[in-house]
Amino acid sequence: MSEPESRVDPADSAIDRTRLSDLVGGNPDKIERYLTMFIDVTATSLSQLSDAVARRDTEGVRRLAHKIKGSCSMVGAAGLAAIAGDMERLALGGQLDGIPQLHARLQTAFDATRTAVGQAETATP
Amino acid sequence: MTTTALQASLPVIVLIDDDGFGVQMLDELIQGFSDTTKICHTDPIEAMKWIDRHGADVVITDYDMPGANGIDLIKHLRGRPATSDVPILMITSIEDPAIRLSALDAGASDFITKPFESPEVRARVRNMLALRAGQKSLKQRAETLSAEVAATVRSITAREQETILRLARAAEYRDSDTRAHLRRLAETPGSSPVD
Repeated sequence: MSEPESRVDPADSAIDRTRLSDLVGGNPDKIERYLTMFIDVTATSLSQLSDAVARRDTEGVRRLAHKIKGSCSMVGAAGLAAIAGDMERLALGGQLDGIPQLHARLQTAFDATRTAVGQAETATP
Repeated sequence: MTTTALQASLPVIVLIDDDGFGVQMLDELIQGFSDTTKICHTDPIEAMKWIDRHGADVVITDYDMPGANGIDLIKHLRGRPATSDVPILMITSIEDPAIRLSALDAGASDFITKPFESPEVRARVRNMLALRAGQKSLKQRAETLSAEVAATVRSITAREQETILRLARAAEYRDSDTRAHLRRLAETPGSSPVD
């Protein structure tokens, strides 16, 4: 049995909630609300990124990776931001060879993040 | 939605990021500035049009946007008298030093790279609001002084014209004492016209 999460480097999927907490003035409701929003918008961006990768659309990959990097940076998902940043750099240099591997790593790490956020929400009364 | 606040002359902070989540987070970041009006835009072209119409006191913009990037936006605003000195903060996740330099060369007042420290960004925005308040105060003072100078010049000109008129009337008499009379009039600006 091999769940995708078991292969994830924890550093890739971790979220430092203090960053988001600082941004929203420590309001726990807002932290949860924005984390849920982050998960939704990033899931959509990742789906669009999959299409761009499949089309070998370098500019599309660059733009979407940049967008994901920005969102991840805002909520303290430094590991996800770093992978997206690597994708952006490769796409900017026109190098598509390493993109599918990074994309798979990003998707796997994001799935683990989504699971962790969902579990935290369930645990919150 | 913003008319009331704009009419109340609250400082206006315009936030521009093509990513809806990004602009919402920026809006959240400055929620503590309750004595300001926040205007969010996800389309940089629309943002420029809005600022051209309504003005802005602080602009916070992303760099990488379709249609017009952050540097295009800065150049546009700097090229117009109404926004030539509005403080502009660029916040982006792009780390390229060349872009940072280009933004500052184009007239960005400050440049912050994501991830950022929220308290630091708030402090910088607060400083920009203070700078803008100072700019407005100076401009108002200059306008007041200019109006006072204009009023004084009008008053002096009117008095000069009155004096010349009196001298002209006096000269019409052409009597032997005209020269001395003109001198006396010149030394007594408040004297009555000679009938």
